[in-house]
Amino acid sequence: MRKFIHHLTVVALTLAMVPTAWAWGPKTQLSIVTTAAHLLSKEGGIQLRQMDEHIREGALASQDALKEQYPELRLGDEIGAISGEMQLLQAVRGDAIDAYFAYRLGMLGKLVAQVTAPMSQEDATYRNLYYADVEERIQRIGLDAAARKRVEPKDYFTRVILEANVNNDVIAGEYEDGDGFEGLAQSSLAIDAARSVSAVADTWYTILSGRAVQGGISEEQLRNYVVDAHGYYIRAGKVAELKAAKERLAKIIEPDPDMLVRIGDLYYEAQRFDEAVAVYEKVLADMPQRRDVAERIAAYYLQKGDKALNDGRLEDAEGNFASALSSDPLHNTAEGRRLEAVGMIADRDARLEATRRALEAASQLQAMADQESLKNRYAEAAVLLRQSRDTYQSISDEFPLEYQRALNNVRDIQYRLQELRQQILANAQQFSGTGSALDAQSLADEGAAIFDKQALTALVSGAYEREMRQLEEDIRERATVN
Amino acid sequence: MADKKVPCPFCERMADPEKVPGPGDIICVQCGMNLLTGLKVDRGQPARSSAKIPWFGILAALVTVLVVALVAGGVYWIVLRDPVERAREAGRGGNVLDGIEILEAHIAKVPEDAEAHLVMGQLYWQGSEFARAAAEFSIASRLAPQDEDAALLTVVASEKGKTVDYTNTQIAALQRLVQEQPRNARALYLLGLALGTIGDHVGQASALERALALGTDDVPEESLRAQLAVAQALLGQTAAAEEQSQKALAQNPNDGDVQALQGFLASLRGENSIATAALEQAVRESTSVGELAKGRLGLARLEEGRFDEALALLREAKNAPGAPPATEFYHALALQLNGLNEEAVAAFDQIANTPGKFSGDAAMQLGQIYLDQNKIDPASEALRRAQSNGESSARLYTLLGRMEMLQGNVGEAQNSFRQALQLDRDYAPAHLENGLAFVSRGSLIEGVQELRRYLELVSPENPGSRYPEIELLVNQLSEASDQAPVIEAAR
Repeated sequence: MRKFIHHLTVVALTLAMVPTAWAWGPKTQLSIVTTAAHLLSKEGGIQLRQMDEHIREGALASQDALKEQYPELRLGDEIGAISGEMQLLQAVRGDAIDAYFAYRLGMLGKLVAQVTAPMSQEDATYRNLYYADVEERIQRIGLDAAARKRVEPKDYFTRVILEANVNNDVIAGEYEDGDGFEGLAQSSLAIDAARSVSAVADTWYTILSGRAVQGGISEEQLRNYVVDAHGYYIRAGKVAELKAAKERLAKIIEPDPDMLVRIGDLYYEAQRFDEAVAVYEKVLADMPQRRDVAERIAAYYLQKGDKALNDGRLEDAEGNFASALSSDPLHNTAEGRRLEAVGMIADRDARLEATRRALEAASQLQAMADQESLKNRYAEAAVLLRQSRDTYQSISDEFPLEYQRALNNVRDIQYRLQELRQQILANAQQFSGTGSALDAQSLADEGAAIFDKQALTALVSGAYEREMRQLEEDIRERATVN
Repeated sequence: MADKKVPCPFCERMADPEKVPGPGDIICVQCGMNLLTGLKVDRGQPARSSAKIPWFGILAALVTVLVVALVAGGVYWIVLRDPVERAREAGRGGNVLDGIEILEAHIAKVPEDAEAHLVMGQLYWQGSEFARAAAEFSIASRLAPQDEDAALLTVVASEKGKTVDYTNTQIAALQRLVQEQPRNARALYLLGLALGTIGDHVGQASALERALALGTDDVPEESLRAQLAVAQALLGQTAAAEEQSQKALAQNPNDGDVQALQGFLASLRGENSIATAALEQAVRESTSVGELAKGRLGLARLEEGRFDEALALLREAKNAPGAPPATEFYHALALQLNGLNEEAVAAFDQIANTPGKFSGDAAMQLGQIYLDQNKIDPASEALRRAQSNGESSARLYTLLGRMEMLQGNVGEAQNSFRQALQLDRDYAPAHLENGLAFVSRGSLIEGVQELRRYLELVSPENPGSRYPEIELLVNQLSEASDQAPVIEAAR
C-alpha cells in the first residue's frame, strides 16, 4: 500500500513535469542526451564536451519548443521531424560546431530519446508510472557502449522504435498487476536506455561525420535556421558568441532584408534595442520603402523618447522623437511628440532660469542682510535673511545642483538667524539706563515750576524794593523835622 | 537819658537845670539868668528899692513890669506853646534829643497826639533810629489814618529799620491809608506789592486791581498790570495773567522784567518754546530776575537735550548771588548729562549731604551715575542714602532694580521694578528696565510687551527716550521670538 502511494506520488510529480504524453521523463532524456554526447567525445571522433552546456540546453527544451521547432511533430511524424532536422543540421554544419548547432543537437537528441523510449505507445497511466520509475533509477544504471552507426532515419528509427516497444505489454501488465518496476521494466531498463543513447549518438554521428549536403534543404529552412540561431544567441545574451558565429551563419545563407528584420525583431524582443535598430536601419538604408522597418525604428525611438521623457531627459527625448520622425516621416505622432518635447525643454529651461534667478535673488538678500548686520540693524538683517530663506525654500528639487545649493544656503541662514538672535538679545541690555534721560527731563519739568514761582515772587519783591527806594526818595524831606 | 542842659538865650551857654535851686526854674550857671523869668539872680545881694519919687524908680518899675510882662509872655510862650512844635524846633536846631524829650513828656500826657508821634518819628529818623521812627510813625498813622505821610513814613521807616514784623507793620499802615484814601493809587500799589511779598496774592491782586481801576497816572499802568499778572499767575489764573502781561508788554515792550514775566507765565502754561524766547529776550533787555531766567533757560535746554548750553546757563545762574538752591541741583544734573561725571558726583554728593528739597534727588542721581559706571557698592550706598532722605518713589525702586540686574539677580530686580510700577504704573523707565529683564531671561514675549508699553508712554520726539532705537529693538525681539519655532523645527 505504501509502495502504491509512493508510486502514485511519483506519477503525479512526473505528470506535472511531463505535461504531454511523451517518452522518458526529463531527467531521463537529459541523461540519455548527455551520455550520448560523452560517448561521442569519448569515442574520440567528435568533441562535444565544450558544447555540453548547449546540448543540455537543447535537451531541456520544452515540448512546445520542440513542436515549434519541428512542425512535423504536430502531424505525429517524429521520424520525419528527425530526418528533416538531420538534413538541416548536416547542411548547416560547416567546419565547426557552434553553440546553436550544439543546442539543436541537444533538441534533436531529446526528440530521438523520446521517440526511442519504451512504452511510448502504451496507456498513459502505466506509461507515466514507468517513466517515473525510470526517473528515479536512470542515474544508477550503467550503459553499454555500442558501435556507432550511420543513421538512415526512416529505416533506423522504425527499427529502433519497434525494439523499444517490444516489452510494452509485459511492462504494462506488470504495472497493472502491481509489480510495477520490479519486473521486466527494471531488468530491461539498461538496454532500453542504452538503445536511446545509441540512437542519439548515432544520429549525431551521422550529422557530424557525414558530408555536408545542402540539397533538399530549402532556403526557407536555412533562413529559419540562421534566424533561429540569432534568436538563440540574442535571447541568451550571448553577444560574443553571436559575434563569433555571425560569419559562419552568414556562410549558411546571406541574410536578406526579411531575415534582418526578423533578426532585428529578435533583438528588439530581447530589449537589445540598439542592436535591433542598427539592424533595422541597415535594412532601411537598403530598402527605404520598407515602411514596416521604418515603423519599427520609429516605434523604438518613440519608446526611447518616452522613457527619456519619464526620466526627465528632455533633450534625449527630443532627439529620439526626432530620430523617430527621421525614420518615419509619415509617423502621425512623432512630430507632435517632438514638439511636445521641445516645449517641455523650453519650459524646463525657463524654470531653470527662474531657479537661477531665485538663487541669485536669495543670495543678494543674504548679502544685504550681512550689510545690515554690520550696521547693527539686526531686525532688518533678520527680515532679509528670512526673505532669503523663503526664496531658497521655494526652489524645487527639479534641478539637483541648484537645489543642493539652496539647501546649503538655507542651513547657513538658519545658523545666521540664530546668531542674530543672540546678538539682538545681547544688544538689548545696552538700553538699560535710558530712562535716566527721561528722569532728567522730568526733574527739569519739576524745576521749571520752582523757577517760575521763584521768579514771579522775585518780581514782586524786586518791584517792592524799588518802590521802597523811590518812596524813600520821595518822602525823605518829610521824614525829618528839618 | 541824655544830658538835660538847655541853651541859655542870654549868654548862649548851656544851662544845667539840675543845678537850679528851685523846682521848675532854669538858671544859667554861667550868667545867673533865670531862663523862665528873665531876671538875673544876684546870689549875694538883696534887691534895693528908692525913697523919692524917683522917676528913675518909676521908670525902672515900669521897665521891670514891662520886662516882667515880656518875660511872662516869653515864659508863657516858652512853657505853654505846642510841645510838638517845640520838639520840632528842637529838631530843627539839631537838638533831637531835646525834641524827643519834649515829646516824650508830651506824649506821656497826651498819648493820642498823632502829630506828636509823627514828630517823634521824624526826630528818631533824624537820629537814624529807624525802628523807633517806624514805631512812632505807625502810632501816628494809627491815630491819624488819614495822614498819608504818617503811613508812608511808617512803610519807609519799617523798611529801613527791618524790625521783626516790619512787613506787617507796613501793610497795616498802607491798609489804613487806602481805607482813608481809596483813590490813592500809589498806596494801593504799595499795598499790593507788600501783600505779594508775604504771599497774600489774593490781597495783592485785589489792591492792584483797585489801583488799576482808578486810572490815574500816579503809578505807571504797565507796572500795575505786570504786578497784577504776577499775582494772578501765582493764584493759578493763567489766562487773566496772560492778558495783563500782554497789556503791560504792549505799553512797555522793552522792559526786561515784563519780558521775563511773559517768559515765566508761558512756562507756567507749559508753552516752553514761547517761554524760552521771552526769557532770552528778557536776559538781553536786562531783567531783575536774570539769574532765575538763566536758570529756567538752562532747564529748557535740558529738556531739549541741549546739554552743553544748559550747563553754561546753569553755571551762570548758580554763580549769581542769591541763586536759589534748585540751581545747584540742576547745575549738577547738567554736569551729569554732559558726561562730566566726576564733577557731577562731587556736586550731587554735597547736595545729598545737605538737608533740603533736593537731597533725595541728588542721592538718586549719584546712584544713577554709579550704576551707569557699573560701580555697585557706591551705587548701593547712594541709593541707601536716598532712602534715608525719605525717598520712596518709582524712580528709586527702578534704580534699585537696575542695581540688582548688575549683580545678576534678575528675580530681585523684577521685584523692584514691580514695586516701582505699583507706585506709578505709568513710570516709563520701570517698564523699560522690566522689559529688558524679561529679555535677559529669554522671555521675549513678555519683554516685548513691556517695551511696547514704554514706547506708548514716551514721546517719539523726545531725544532722551531713544524711541527709534527701542522701537527697532522691539522689532528685533519680535523677530527673534517669531523665529524660535522655525529654528526648533529645523533642528
